[in-house]
Amino acid sequence: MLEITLASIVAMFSLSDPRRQKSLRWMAEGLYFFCCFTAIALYVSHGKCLDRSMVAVVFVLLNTGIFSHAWMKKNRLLPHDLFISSLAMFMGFYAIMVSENLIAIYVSLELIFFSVLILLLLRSKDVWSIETCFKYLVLNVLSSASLLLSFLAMIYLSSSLQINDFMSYHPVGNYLESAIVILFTLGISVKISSAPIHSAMADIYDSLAPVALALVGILPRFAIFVLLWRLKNIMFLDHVLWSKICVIFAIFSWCIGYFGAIRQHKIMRLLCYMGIAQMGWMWLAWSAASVEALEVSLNFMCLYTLAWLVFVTIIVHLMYRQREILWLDELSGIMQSSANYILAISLFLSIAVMMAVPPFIGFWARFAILRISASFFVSCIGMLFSVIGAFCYLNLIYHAFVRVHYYEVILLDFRGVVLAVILNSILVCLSLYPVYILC
Amino acid sequence: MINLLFVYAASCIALLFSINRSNRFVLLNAVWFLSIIAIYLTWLLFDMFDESIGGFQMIMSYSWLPEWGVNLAFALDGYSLWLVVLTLLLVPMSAVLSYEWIHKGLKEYLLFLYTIQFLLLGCFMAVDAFVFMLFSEGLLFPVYFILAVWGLENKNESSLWFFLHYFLSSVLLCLAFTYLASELGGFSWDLWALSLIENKVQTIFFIAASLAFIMKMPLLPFHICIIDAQTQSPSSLVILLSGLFLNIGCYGLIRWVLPIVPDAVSCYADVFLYLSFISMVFLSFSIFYQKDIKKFIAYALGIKYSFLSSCLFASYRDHNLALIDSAIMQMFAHGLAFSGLFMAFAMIYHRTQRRDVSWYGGLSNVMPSLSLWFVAYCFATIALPGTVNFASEFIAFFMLMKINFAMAVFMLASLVVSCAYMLWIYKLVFLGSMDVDRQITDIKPLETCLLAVLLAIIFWFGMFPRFLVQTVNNTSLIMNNYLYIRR
Repeated sequence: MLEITLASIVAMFSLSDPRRQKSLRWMAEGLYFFCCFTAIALYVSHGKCLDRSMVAVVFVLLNTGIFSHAWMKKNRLLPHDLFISSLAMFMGFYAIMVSENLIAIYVSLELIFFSVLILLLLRSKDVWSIETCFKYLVLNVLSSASLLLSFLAMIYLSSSLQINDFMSYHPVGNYLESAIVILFTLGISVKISSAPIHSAMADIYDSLAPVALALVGILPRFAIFVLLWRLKNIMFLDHVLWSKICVIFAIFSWCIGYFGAIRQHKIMRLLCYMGIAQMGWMWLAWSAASVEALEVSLNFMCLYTLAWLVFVTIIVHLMYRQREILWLDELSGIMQSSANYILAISLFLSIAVMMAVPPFIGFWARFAILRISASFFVSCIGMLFSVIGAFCYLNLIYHAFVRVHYYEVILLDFRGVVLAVILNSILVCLSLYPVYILC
Repeated sequence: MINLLFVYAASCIALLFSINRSNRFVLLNAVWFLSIIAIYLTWLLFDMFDESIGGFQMIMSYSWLPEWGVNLAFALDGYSLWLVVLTLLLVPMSAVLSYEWIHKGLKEYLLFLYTIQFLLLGCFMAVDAFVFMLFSEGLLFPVYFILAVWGLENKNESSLWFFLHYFLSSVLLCLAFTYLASELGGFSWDLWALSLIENKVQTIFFIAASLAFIMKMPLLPFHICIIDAQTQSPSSLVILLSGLFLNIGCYGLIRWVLPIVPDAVSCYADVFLYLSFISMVFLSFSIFYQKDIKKFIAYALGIKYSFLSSCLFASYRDHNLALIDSAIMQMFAHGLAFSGLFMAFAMIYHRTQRRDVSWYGGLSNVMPSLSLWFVAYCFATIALPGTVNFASEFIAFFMLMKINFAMAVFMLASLVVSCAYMLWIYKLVFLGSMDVDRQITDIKPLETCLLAVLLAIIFWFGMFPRFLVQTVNNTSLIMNNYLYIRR
């Protein structure tokens, strides 16, 4: 199925003609959604039989599909740059999943991040955006260097370029193993935009258009997950050190994410900091250093992504005084534009899932992490921090549903809301019967 | 029967959702229709409940997440029966009164109210800790929205603090339950009640869970957010907050904490006992400084719940069954009496739009009917003989005197003071002459009926408490048996 998708994208690109924009647009949308929902159906019906990395790619497709749909609808463009970047990213994902060579995996990872970077540069709105892109470039270059060193060390340890040889390597407790763990975790912490090396992310979130933001915010995290899934053995090289580093990153992410979000008044910056905080939960899951931990973290990431997509889809499809909604205050007109229960419920559900409040599915995913985490004490710290996160999400809810505003928020495209409703239905169904996503 | 209750609760929400929001008359008719069904269900519940059986009845259980040890399990016993009855009684009353008191967004308000009913029923009937947690924490959003949208002048601040306060208690509860479930391998009440738990695990669970449940009650030092929420809530929500919400904390202690960790209770209950005692004394002094009548009543409720929580901890520390019974009876009694008192004051407030004591005086000249009902509820709250409050508190004092004479004397003094301040507030508001001629109408027949129903129940169970005592006592005996089996 993935091959079909890639082939189709290549075909579309090569056949693209400015005179046939409309048909190509519909073809692109249809293909994206067909792939996404087929993959979800496969996952639901086969459960664990479907490779976890495939699930990650499903969400990548879903993510890009939704935003390309939204962006194209709004701007009436055929975004060749988006297609090129998507193609490169999907090829990168595919290569990580099928490569047997450590260098090839590293190059595939870099392919993903460079395509994200190129997209960021092409989609930048002003000079400030370009500056933030360069910050992102510098940070990623440093993280890539760290990852490259760790890969070289892995090759040295296993005396082979083959991933199977590394996966069958038994740790002996030398310093090189510890160094690999440290370099690897440092490298991926930047890629997934978790604290403490997160400084450019808030500016990037602020400066970019939503479609590029969807790629920056979600794709790298799934890429790292796929990387971890392929290189599981890295957790066991020095599992004590791995757990400790994960716990440290988790606590940092919570501190910076939750406290940073308190003072935010722009929606995208708020989402950025909350994303950093959510990465803290991913780190907590990874600290358990087991395959189950990786699965739980994937489930958590998928659910958070779904909820995030619903929220941003609705925001992107609303207009406030002839422009996009940027500030929290501007959400206040949503309930006043019409008594649109479906829009309100969808928006509320997405926020509630991100907030991880029972009985919504977000709570289940976080509860699964609590169950498998290495340290119950650290879990307690995370839960106490989540009270601060609740305050930030409550701020969103207050502005959207409670605060009275005088300007009307206009719904730009009802189809975007329909999409949000479909995704929300999935979230509600999973809340009622979470076995598919949790066990 | 439990299926029926959930179907009823879900149908309420579905029915209201289908009605056009601009059609208030249809909404009122729907509420009346649902109220009649609630009365029928209450009668059916009493009919089907076997008072001779102390254990769980009408059990409904489905396997939900067997890998996690989570079952969708519900049942009724002598403890939860009265809270379910209270829910079926108070929610329709609140809904009927909302028609008079809520002018904007009535449909949405009623939807939230009936969502609260659904969640409360699930909370009181759950016999799986995870399910209990889901239902009790799910109450957070409906209450927040009602408070934030329909609340009074400081609604934004009070709703925010209430949310954070309740969320923090939810977090503590989640951690405590997760910790114990990971030790025991499941969330079922039977598993928890019959398992031998290590002392260290018991201690950690007891402290975390007790704190979590105490935060849901207006006890020092957690009383500020709850009392503030009660003051700023719209009147029909206050009826539910005072009658049902505070009981979640007490019920949680009785069901999920105190019988589960008896060794930890024996060691550490004194801390919470003295905390409750200090809370009672502190609130008794603080109440005299209150100028807001609603806050005054909320403080009075806080004093009663401080007494109730001291009874709870003392009862499980010394395995005093009579004290446990009195605690359950107090929950039921306070739920009726204080809901009625808040209801009576709300009837005044919606005519005058004033809550400060200084504005009032001589109200009985213009509202003679309401003044009678108000004083009747005042007497009910101060446990006048003949009321169910008296029946419950008399047993409690008698038992407390055996446990700790000095503390019981202080508590009795606090309750005597409660008589004083209730009569004092009545005097300030209703007696004397009016300085300014105020055009205030007396209560309507509908309002009289609602007040009469609650008062009739208070006096009925005060005069004929046999059924109440028997059901509660049989359940307490079963709970005691669980402790003996474990030992």
